[in-house]
Formats: sequence, C-alpha cells, structure tokens
Amino acid sequence: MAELIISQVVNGLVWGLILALISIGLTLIYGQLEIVNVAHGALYTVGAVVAYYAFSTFGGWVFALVLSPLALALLGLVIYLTTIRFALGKPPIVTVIITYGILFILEQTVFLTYGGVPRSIPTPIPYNIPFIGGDYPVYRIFCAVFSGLVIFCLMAFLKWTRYGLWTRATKQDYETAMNMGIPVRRVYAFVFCLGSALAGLGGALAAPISSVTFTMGHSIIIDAFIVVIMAGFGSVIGTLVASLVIEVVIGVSAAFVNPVMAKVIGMAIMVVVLFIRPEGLFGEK
Amino acid sequence: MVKPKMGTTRRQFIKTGILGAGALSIGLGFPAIVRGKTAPIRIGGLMDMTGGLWAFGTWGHRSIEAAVKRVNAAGGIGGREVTYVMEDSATNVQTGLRKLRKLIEQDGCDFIIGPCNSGVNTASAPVVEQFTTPHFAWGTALSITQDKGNRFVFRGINNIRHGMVALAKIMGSELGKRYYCLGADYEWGRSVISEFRRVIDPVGGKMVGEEYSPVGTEDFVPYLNKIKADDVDILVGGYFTGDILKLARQAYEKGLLKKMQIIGGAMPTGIAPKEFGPAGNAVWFTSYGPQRMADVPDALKPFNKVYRDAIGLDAEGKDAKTGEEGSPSYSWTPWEHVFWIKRGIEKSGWKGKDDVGKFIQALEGMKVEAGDDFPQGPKAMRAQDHQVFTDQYVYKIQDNQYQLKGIVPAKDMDYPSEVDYTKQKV
Repeated sequence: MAELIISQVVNGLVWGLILALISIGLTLIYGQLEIVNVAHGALYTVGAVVAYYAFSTFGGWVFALVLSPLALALLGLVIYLTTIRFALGKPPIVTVIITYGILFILEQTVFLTYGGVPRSIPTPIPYNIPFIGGDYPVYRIFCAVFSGLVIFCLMAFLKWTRYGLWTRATKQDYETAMNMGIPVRRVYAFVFCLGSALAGLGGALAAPISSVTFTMGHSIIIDAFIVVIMAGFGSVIGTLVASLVIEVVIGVSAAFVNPVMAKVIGMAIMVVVLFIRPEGLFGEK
Repeated sequence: MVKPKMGTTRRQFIKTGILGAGALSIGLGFPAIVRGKTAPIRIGGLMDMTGGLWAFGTWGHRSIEAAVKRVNAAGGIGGREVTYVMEDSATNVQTGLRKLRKLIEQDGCDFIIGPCNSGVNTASAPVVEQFTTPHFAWGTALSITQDKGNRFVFRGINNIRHGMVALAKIMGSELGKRYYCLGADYEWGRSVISEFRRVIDPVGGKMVGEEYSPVGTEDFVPYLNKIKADDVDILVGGYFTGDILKLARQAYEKGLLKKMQIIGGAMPTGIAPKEFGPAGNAVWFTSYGPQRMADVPDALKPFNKVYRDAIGLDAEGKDAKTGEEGSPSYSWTPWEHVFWIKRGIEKSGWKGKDDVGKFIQALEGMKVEAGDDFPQGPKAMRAQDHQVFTDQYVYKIQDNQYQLKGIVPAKDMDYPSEVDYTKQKV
C-alpha cells in the first residue's frame, strides 16, 4: 500500500504541475482583467491542435512546444482586441457570457477544421524509468520539470521585470498605475496574451499524454476552475499550491476509493476551504 | 311596391348549408383519410453529431439519409413518401431527451432512430412509451432491451453481451484468467464490465480489481498505478473512442502491456489504428460489423457494396471523399433500422398512430434475410425483448491495421430473455 501511495503522490505532483501551468493563465486573466475566462479550456484545446499540426508538419516535438504558445499568444491578442477589451469593467456574468461565446466559436472552429476524430502525438521521450515495482514515463517527468521551470520563470518575470512590475501595479490599483504613466491597456493585452500562451503550452505538453480532440478542454477547465477558486483568484503561488494539493489528494484518494469518489473528495476539499476562507487559500479579502 | 329583399331565402339557405357542410367535411373528415394515404411518414433521427460520440452520429446520419433516399426512389412505403428529420443529441442525456421530445411533439415524427449513446437510449424508453412512438435504439448496453426497455423499444444491433461472448470465443487461450476492469462510469461502461464478468467468471476467471472513472478522464495513471503487470492478464476497457485510445497509450507508457492485453467494448469508431502506436498491438475489440470489405463474408459482399456506396464508405472502411476513418462496424444499423420500419409498416398495414400496436406486433419475431436492405446479414428480432441476433466480429490491431480475428455466428450467442415485452399492453 505504501508503494501505491508514493506512486499516487508522485503522479499527483506531476499532473498537478501541468494543471498549475494551465490554471495560472486563468488566474492571471481574472486577477488582472477581472474576466472570468470560460474559454480557457478551448485555448488549451487549440494549443494541443497547433502542437499536433506543428509536430505533423515539422516532425520535431520542439517545434510544437515553441509554436503552440506563440500561436496562442497571437490568438489571445486577436481575442483581446476584438472582444475582451470591450468587456473590461463589466459585471462577471457579462464576461462569462462573452467568453462562453468565444469558447463556442473556438471549439466549433476546431471541430470544422481539425475534425472530431481523436488523434495522438507519439510520446516525444519514449522511455520509462523503473519506479517502485513498475515503470514511470520519462515524458511525464519532463512535463513536470518543464512546467515547474516555466512557473518559476513567470514568477521571476512578475517580480523582477519592468512589465512584471507594471502588471502587479495595475492589479493593485489601475487608476494610480495609469496616473503613474503605466500603459494599463497594453498591460491588460499582454496579460491576456500571456494567459492564452500558458493554456496553449499546457495543451502542447498534455497532447502526447492525452489524445488531441476538440472536446479535450472540457474536463481540464473544470479542474482549473476548482484550483483557481480554491487558491483565490489572482494568486499565482496559491494556484500552484492548490493544483498540487488537489491532484495529490485525488491521486491518493484513488488508492482507496473509486475514481469518481476521488474526484468528489477533491471537490469537497475546495468546498471546505471556501467555508473556512471564502476568498480562497491565498486570496485577498 | 316592390318588397325589399329580406336577407337569405330558404332555397339559398339550404344551398349554402349543403355547400358549407360539404366543405367542412372535406376540411375535417376526408382529409384525414386523404392525409393517411399521402402524408409523408416521418422518421426522426436522434444522432450524436457533437460530443464524444461525434463519429457515430455523423455516420448514422449519413446512413439514415441514404436509406430514406433509397426507399423514396423505390416509391416510398405503401406509396407514401418518407421524410427524415435529424436532431443532435450531443452525446448528452439531457440534450438527447429534449431533442427527442422535440422530434415527437413538434416535428410529429412517427418513428425514432438512435442515438448510439446508451445513456440517452435508456432515458428515452419512458418517453417513447408515453408518446407511443416506436424507437429503434442504437446503443449497445444490455439493459436497453432488458430491464430498461419496453414494448416501444427495438434494437437492430447486437448488444455488449454478444460482444463479450464473441471476444471470449475468439480469444480462446489468449484471454487469460486474471482480469482488471476499468470502465466509464455510465450505463454502457458498466455493461461492458458486467458482461465480461458474466462470460469469464463461470470458467474460472478471477477479477483482480474494478474501477469506474468519469467519461473524458484525461489521466488514467492514478488508476493504472493500482495494477501490477504480473498479476493481470487482461485489462477490460469499458471506454469508447478517445478514452480507450488514452487508456491504451497510457497503459503502454506505464509498461503494463508487455504481457497484458486490453479488450475494448466497441471498435474505436473514427480512430485510425495507427493512433494507438505500439500500444495497439495489445488491443482487441468486439465489433458489430465488418470493418473492411475484405472482412465481409462472400455471400454478403454485393449487399455491403450497395450500402457502402450509398453512404460514401470505401472498401477500407474510410470516407470515400476524405479518407478519414469511418464507422463501418456501427453505421449499418441506422440504415437497417429504416428498413425494419419499412418491413413493419408493410406487414402491419400501419397508417398512423392508431396502428402502432399492429406495427409492434408485426416486428416481434420478424426474420429478415440478407440483402441490400440488410447488408450486415440475416437476423431475427426476438419477440420477448425486441433484440436482434446477428453475427459478431472480433478484431485486433496488428501492424497498424484492424485485423479480423474471427466471426461468431448469431446462433452461438443466444441467451434467454429476462423480460417479455409481448405481455405489455400497447
């Protein structure tokens, strides 16, 4: 049993880091723009589809990993300029409706172009390492390390760069930031692009583990929202911690109860956290 | 002095009255009879055009369209044109039920076909009973034509019980005895597992574990972690399309498929075998029809060609235009459902709602021979549970191809019905 629990913890940490990468994009967008981006799952799907085409066209996994976030950043910019900027300052329900429309458009566009058939990308690192009585795919470890590095770089960027400072300042008080000469609108556009790029990167990383299909964003967006709500909207470090906690708890629970009940336990933890701290683990009152 | 005209004369009144009564009788009475002869027969297709079973729905829709076109080209049914209305059930029970009501109540459909989603099929049974509308179910969970069906529900395709019996017969010694069950947590996923157990437990099968996960699970590793490769011969996968693909690939990446084999409850419709990569070599599927023309028994080849040409399916089981994988193992069923309806109407003399009882009785126990209308082969609609019995196919992925491993004849998969719908009133 101890071996199984260790396996579940390790896999929970690995999948938790991938989920954190996707969820941080979601929380950045809400924290900065106060947009509840329901379309985030669809951006993740588009990221996976771009990765599929990049891999099929160029044959190298690195291309997929580079092209997906770039393409999604560009797509994010288009979405921001055409719709999101008009939703700034609107009540949350309006942003939900708008982003739901974007979700529908993106998903159906994928359906009409890429098709409805699930496709797979061969595992870029087709090796396993022996791991407590079984094997563990090296690619998953790569995904976890890579995601961790990206999150670390993102936090460093937000803390030590000029754009990072502008982003934090705009989040704290956008009027003062504007008066101080910070290009608030540009910061908003940048954050939306960044959040979209992170979703795309998550999709590209998950594509070889999962299968690429137009509905693949459905389950991940629910997990991402659970994580972001539990962490408190806008908190990067909170999102990282919540992702790891949720995935480890679900994984360990799955060792004792059936998978559906394990998911219920994950949700129950979120509910308990919200009872105790309605603003989330790391959210501001 | 001329007497002023005082309104209508008696003669005019009688003349107008007769004309009015005549017009009224034409408007209300006669047309009912006229309508009975000329109004089209309306077939409603409840198809999963979006969502996880998208590929099934798309090909099912094509099949019904082509079958209806064929029927109309031959003069319709009893001289009446057949019209087809399709609604997308979106692989979702709530949406499916809403669309089913729309097809019956708003579109006035006389018969319903589909969808492939077993959850929608079982939920539809009380609705079609309420509206006395015959429903030709396409899902393969056993319960659709057992405890969750009723006299208005027919199924023109084998069910998962046939599927598992056929797999066990063809796999023989490769089946092994120790098995681990992983299934989607809904009607069909659970049906796959319970039917596999029904086949293997009486011959010494030993279940090592059983799990059900939500449909659309991305990461199977938390469940696969519980499996020790040396303790299990067979991993039973109660998942369809994208989910069985993920399960197989992740099991392979975990190093579980060195000796262990996976069996799937249905052909992964729409998915090319190469998508499974090296994991494919360990995967077996039960199939409700032949994938490629080469797999079709010689006697059925001419009929199968007619059907494939009509729906745009090539000899390899792919879309003749795009080259994408089709759904040959399933899509013959909605085609044949149209012809079950035709046979039922012709035998019963069905004219409308009042004749539903006669229609149902006509189909109960009906046998059909292979032909252009029934390209998958001869079959019988058992009276008690409205379940068709026909041949079942078994496939395995080898060298990036779906390889036919065997065909089990219908007579070898018989089982007693636990229900008798013929005792239910219509």
